[in-house]
Amino acid sequence: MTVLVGGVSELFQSDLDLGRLAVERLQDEGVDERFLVEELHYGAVAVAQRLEDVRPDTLVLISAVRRGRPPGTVERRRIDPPQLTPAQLQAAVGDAVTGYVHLDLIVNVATGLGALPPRTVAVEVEPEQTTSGEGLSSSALAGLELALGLVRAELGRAALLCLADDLRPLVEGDRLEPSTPLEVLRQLLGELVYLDREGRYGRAFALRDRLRISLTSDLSSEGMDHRDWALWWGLIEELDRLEAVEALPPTA
Amino acid sequence: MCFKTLPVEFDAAGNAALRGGIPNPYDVTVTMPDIGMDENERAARIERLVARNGHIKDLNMDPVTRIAGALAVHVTADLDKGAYLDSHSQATLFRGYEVILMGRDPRDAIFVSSRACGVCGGVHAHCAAYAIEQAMGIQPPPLGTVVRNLTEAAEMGYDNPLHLYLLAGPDYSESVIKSSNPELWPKAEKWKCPSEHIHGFHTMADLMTALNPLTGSLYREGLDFTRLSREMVVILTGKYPHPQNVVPGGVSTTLTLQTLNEYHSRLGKIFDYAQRMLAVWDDIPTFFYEADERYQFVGYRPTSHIDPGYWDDPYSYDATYENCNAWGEKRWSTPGVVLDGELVTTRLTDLNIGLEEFIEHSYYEESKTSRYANDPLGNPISPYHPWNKRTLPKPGGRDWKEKYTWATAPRWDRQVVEAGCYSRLLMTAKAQKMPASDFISATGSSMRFLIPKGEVGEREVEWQVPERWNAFERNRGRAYHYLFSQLVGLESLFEAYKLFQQGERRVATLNPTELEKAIPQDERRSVGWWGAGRGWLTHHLVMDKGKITNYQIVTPSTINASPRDPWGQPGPYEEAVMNTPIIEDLSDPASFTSIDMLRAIRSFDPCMPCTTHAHTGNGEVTREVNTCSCGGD
Repeated sequence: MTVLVGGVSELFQSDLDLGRLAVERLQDEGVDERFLVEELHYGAVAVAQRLEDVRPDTLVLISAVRRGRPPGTVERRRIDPPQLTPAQLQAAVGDAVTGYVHLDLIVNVATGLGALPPRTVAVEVEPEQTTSGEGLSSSALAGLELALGLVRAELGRAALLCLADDLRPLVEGDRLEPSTPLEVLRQLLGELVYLDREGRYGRAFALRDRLRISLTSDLSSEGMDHRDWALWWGLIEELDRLEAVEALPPTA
Repeated sequence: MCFKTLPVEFDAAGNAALRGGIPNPYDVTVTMPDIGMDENERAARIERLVARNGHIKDLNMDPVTRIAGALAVHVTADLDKGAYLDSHSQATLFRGYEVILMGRDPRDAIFVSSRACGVCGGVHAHCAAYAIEQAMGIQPPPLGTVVRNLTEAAEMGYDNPLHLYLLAGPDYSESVIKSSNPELWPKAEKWKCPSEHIHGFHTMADLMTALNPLTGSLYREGLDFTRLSREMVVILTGKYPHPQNVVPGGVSTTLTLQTLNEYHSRLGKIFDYAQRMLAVWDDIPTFFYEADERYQFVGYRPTSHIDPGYWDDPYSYDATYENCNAWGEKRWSTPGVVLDGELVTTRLTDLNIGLEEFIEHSYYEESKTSRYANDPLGNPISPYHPWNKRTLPKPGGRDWKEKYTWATAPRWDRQVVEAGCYSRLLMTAKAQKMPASDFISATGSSMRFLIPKGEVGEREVEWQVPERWNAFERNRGRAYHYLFSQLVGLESLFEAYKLFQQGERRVATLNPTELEKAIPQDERRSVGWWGAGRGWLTHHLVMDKGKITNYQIVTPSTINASPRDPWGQPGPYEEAVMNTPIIEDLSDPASFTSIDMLRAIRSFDPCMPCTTHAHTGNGEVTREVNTCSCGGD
């Protein structure tokens, strides 16, 4: 599993420099070495080429982006490849090669060049000050803290979501006989789609409990092999781990 | 050497003086170029035609560029006769770098002006360093100049394929041809490419399909090779597109044999690609000319070009204005002016004193001054010369008869000249003054190149001065310039190895502490003559008490996108459009795309970021920008 966290910045443009500052913070914290944390302010085509090299399973982009929200607003968005016409994609490449830097441009160009990772999440902060200068406004500074929390959460659940991605094709179709645990697992995987889209766990922990009980008390599906068992229990254990982490107060 | 328009004459030693007896010799009503049709006559002609022809159509093409979107072109087209009757080129954003630099430490110019463009920041950084070191009298050591040459060769290696495949190439792709010139597609399917053995495409249709944006193999390959060259720049400069290693008096690169070897390993991959590139851009014009002779006039304008030269001889360049003609003529690419196909001069002082910038049709207040009557050698300069000009923005409404653009109108000897990387081939070919080389030679009418052996064998190729400068020849010239620049990179690499072998390691004259102490407190002025991916680049500097008091940047797109001058002469884009026949299928006027005009304009590689800059006059940023701000380089 490869996860790339990228800060997208307009350098020294006050709040628009938030992506770079976020990367500095994460690097100072010493994130797990499985996660790559990099500045991606150097042009969308070059970023797309970097993505082609790294081929991350998950890309988390953090940036200050002007979208007309109240200053300091923090928003997490699960990004789907945009449906752009060839002319729009070409225009995005044109903008990118002259040095325009924007989170959307990275998404558009990476999509056009087939380099957008299957799971891409944007964590955006609405900037307040966008003129030349160093440092963040108070609203952006507060937003940065919240955004960093969201990025850490994304990193925390990346393994879970990758595991879910691995499991989905194994529980589709009729390879496995119908059973209660299988039904619960399918519901849980559906709930993890919700987690991926919305960033909230919903009924995931409750379904995990039902799956655990069901696996120990009900008949499991015919056709399950060692890999199925390992992945099913791995999913439960990963949710156990995350529940413990999520239960910790933010300062812990 | 003599000027055609300006009242300047030269003595036997080449020193210039104003011709006597002319009051206000630089007044635009006193010294006027010979012009064809003036603006009033042109307008009257259009009015007469409109009165009797219902097929005349006014069109605004905005944006025209595939990059940055800061260029609009207004044309009046006669769809009945298939002609563009009038054209106005409009740079829609204001460039503020000259204003930003006022009052700053001159060293800041290296880093601030670099931000004028997100494609070619390095060229601005270098140009600023040349201006500063001339003002301060700091001569770089030979290895410093060699590293600059290596860097700038690599930067061209990024820039040229970027334009040919990502920006101009789509105009010749299957997707555009099928929609704009459908009559060409059956011909393309049958037309066998003469250079198939080099580029691998059997028919022109195959080649055009490979040019399709995003999906075409040539488009994708262009992206890959821009990356390779970008890496070569980064090896030497630390980052791209805004280098951190450029200093007055050299570079701050820590140069090791490994650095050179890494550069070499990448450069070695380029020559096979260059062979394919030349083959592609040789076949495209051949096909179009055969398909319809009128394509020879798409983007046509007279062979009048200007270029300050590029890539210095490390042993001749001494950073002085006094010796600039000597070291300028030893550049790999010779400085010069060609008017109507004739080489007029190769002296940098002549280029400098003939240069003026007019703002009659630009959103600026009149900015001429009489601060300086002469250059540092005593040659006369105009009140409109960059050393005398100031940047005084004055936004306003668009009026084709009055002001309509943020670009100024640079002219040389009050003649309209064009800038382009291909102009380097033209000057160097005609001048025959370039240094001796195993790979490059000039014949007077052509440039000959020996492409070193790669995976395919070595090959000799020749670029001929075209009979007609048109859109296709600009693109072909750009492809040959790619090869030219990479061979300069190779020659410079050999020079670097040689200097290393001799034990030379010094890449800068002064360390930062010494540089700090060397900043002069008296008034100085200077000019950095350099080049960009699109040709001519100059930074004119005036400094006093250690601060910048005037900074004027003339970019190639400023020259090419220029509006009418005080005498109504259209700028190069405007002129090229008016000479362009409308060849596209006009059976349905409602679907008129003006592709012929777009091909004409795009062939100049109009990078508007350096020509203009985001206008913030009302506190409103027209467009969110970062590294690329301006409007054209």
